[in-house]
Amino acid sequence: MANLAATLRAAFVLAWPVLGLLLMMAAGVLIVSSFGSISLQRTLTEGLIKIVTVVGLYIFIGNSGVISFGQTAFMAVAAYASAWQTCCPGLKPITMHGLPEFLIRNSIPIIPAGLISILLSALVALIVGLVVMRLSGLAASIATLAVLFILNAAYSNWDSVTMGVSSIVGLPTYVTPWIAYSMAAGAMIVAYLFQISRFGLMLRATREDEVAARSVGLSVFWLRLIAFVLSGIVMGLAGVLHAHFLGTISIDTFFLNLTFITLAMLVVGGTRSLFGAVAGVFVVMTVIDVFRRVESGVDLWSFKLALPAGTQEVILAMVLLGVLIFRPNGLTGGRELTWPFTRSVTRSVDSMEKKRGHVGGKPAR
Amino acid sequence: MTGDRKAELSAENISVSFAGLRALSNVTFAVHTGEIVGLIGPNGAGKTTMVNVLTGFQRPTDGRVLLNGTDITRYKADAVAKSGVARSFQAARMFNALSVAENVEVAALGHGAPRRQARARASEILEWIDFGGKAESPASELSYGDQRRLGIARALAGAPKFLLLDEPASGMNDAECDDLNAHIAEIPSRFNCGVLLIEHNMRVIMQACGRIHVLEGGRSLAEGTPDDVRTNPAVRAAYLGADQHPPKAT
Amino acid sequence: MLHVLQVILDAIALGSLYALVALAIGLVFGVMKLINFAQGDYITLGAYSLVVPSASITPPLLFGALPVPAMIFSVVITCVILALATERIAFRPLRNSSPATLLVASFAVSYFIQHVTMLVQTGRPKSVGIGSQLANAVEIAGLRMPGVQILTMGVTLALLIGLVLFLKKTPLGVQMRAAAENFEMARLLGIRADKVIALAFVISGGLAAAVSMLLVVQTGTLDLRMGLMPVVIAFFATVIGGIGSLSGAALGGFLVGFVSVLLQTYLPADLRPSRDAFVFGLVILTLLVRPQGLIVTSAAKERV
Ligand SMILES: Nc1ncnc2c1ncn2[C@@H]1O[C@H](COP(=O)(O)OP(=O)(O)OP(=O)(O)O)[C@@H](O)[C@H]1O
Ligand SMILES: [Mg+2]
Repeated sequence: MANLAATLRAAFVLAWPVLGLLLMMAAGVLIVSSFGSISLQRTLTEGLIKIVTVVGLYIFIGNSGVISFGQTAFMAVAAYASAWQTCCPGLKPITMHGLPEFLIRNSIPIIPAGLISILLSALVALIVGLVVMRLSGLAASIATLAVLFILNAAYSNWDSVTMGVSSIVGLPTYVTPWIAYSMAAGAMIVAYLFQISRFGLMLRATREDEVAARSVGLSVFWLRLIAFVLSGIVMGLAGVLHAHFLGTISIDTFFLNLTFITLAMLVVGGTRSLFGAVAGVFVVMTVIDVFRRVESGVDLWSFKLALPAGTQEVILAMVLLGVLIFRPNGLTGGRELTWPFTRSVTRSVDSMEKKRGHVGGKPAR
Repeated sequence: MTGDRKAELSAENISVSFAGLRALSNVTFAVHTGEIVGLIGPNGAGKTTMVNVLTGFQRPTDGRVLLNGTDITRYKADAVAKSGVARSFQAARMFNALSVAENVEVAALGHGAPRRQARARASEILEWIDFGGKAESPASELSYGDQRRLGIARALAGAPKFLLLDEPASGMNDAECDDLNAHIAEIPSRFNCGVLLIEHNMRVIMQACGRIHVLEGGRSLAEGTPDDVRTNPAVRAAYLGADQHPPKAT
Repeated sequence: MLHVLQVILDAIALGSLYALVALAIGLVFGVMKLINFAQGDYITLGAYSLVVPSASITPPLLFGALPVPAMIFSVVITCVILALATERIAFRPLRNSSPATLLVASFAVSYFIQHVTMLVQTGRPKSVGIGSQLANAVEIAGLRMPGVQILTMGVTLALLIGLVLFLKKTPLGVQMRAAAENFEMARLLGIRADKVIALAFVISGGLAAAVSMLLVVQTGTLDLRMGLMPVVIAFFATVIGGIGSLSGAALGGFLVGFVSVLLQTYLPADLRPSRDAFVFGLVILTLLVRPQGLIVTSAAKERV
């Protein structure tokens, strides 16, 4: 009996880093969806989708220590795939006549369409990963950048299927705050389970010291590949949600800007913990939203303050640089949320690392 | 010391050159299960390079590495580790953000052990090497001497047939050295493996090893029992010439 | 036959342009393990310094109005100051960080410069007429070539040769090269880190200035993203060439430029717009065959 209680308690403490976050987020969603304005609700949904995205990044970048610029490409793959299956039946024969006959004539229900799209992005991630994960860390980062550019160039010019650089408009919009919340919860649970799994532990060992990892039989290639594909799946989910939240997609929204913002979120929060990924989204979304409002003009007592468009981005870049310089392990310092009522040791990467500066990998010298 | 006394890790005519620099020339020697072989030589003699060759971190320019007769010269480092050759490093190379226990556990996982078994293995080894109390602290908080011991524990996690230790006693004081010595001496019988020990500390070498191989400038200079080596004039000359402490009596 | 020759000259021109950018990236990488995204923004800002900052799309000239030598001097100074400022403010505090951290930091610096420029100059492309007389074709031995092409080829080849001579023949250059290929060793030999790093940024600023003016003369437009493609291609070039090798970077840049021009010419017309996808695809394929790049330096491999 006491044994069972102890086991349950241990399980609870183990699950708390993700459970705690989910409870806090649920409270936030509950409050905003009952009392918030429409625009705040939209921001909330957008933020939850960003959580899916950044958690997707975290699965690969956080555990492997390798920066990837290519994950947004997997978002695009899934978003477009979902559009092909669910969007604009009347227009498809004209604007996307290069699609297979079956897709031109039929629409697929949103759920199977979403699953198929995610599968496709996983497949693309697998193919890309098989090539790119063979490279050393930094070369791999550059190669993922090449992947982003390849996809962008291909989709921008594949007019008969992607409508080139024009937007595809009229996707069914089904993403409510609660749907976004449950998807974010799913992504976070997947990320957390991966992180505490044997593969997660082994991958983090390769992040800490690649040479030592190989000396104990760890295959850097396979471990990175597993995380890369899992990340691809979550990025695919993010892409589908993005598409069906906005109802419109265009290839340039999945390019350097989105890559920068999501990477900034992850780094600001702290690349090495799930808590960091989620906190980073919250902090950066808040900064962006505040400045977005100020850019469009706010009344301050008697005069109207409106910052020029672009201020938001400048501030974001400064926040990111500041964090890199003054808090290299991010705002959370690589900590997970820990159950506050236990005597178990709280550990933070900050206290562990005497050396500084770790977005990933170890210092150059 | 059980069954397969014949298990053998051998280097045959190994040569390595780095852009013209001959780090190893035609070196041959072997380690068997159950014994501790010393590998000594002045700085730059090629000891670490030899360990790198034996563990797949360095392709030799020439020669073969055999594990029980199987040619493993072209195996990748992780494959060598999986086939039973483990090593420690001259620099500590911990998994800093992982706890002490996780450092060892992950090494067992690397050899395919299931999670539960890997944990059990980790606590068993940590117990043996007197780390019990520190299992949960992060590896980066360990003292330098403790990091070296953790390196040994980690290498043992995969139940290797051969363990190659690159200067495990460096940076340790005399008391720590003696303690380390006692542990190293236990390894062959307790873990049923052969040990190759690189060390500058002659106290450690002379006590622990049954046989010693001496390298100098990438060449084999001598091989024999500690007494043979100690009295070998060529070895004395090499050490004095290289301005090192000559092997002294223990 | 003549046509083939023209294509080859084109390819050489573009190849040497990319080789220059790749060398700038390679030098900075060598001395501080930084893959510098902001290199592209040095180029962009250098180009924008030719005009008076404003929201106008046909702005009056600033440095562009000066006599050519003074114009070149001013743009070079602008780029060098910018490069040194980014080093001092953003990269120096991060000098001991991991390459991944530095990469993200340079992404942030790039984003920062780009959006500050946008605040002042707006995001719309602008037109500048500098060196428009160079657009006229010049005929040399039966080959009709636009003056711009000859200028580009002349300047890039001259800079490339100058830089190689500097790196190989002058004491400072030799130190620089030693540091770029093995920084630790160079430090042990007493080369001062601050000096060498600053010098790398000065050179990368100077090269950015040259590239920016060439791009403006070629296209007659200013665009916030004008530095992006060259710098991204230079990234790929350094990886194909072998990270950490200067000759590798130059070779890689040259190859990528060369191949782009060939693809532009010989790809079937309907695939031509996707040329970049093919070029980058080739980058990935090269890496598949040679994961370490074409030239593998000992410094690139971690010592165990
Ligand atoms: N990756 C490498 N590239 C170039 N030279 C190397 C490399 N590794 C080792 N060397 C050189 O090979 C020689 C042998 O080095 P090694 O590290 O094997 O010596 P060692 O016997 O382990 O010395 P120490 O006692 O100092 O550890 C040295 O001259 C060293 O500089
Ligand atoms: Mg050594």
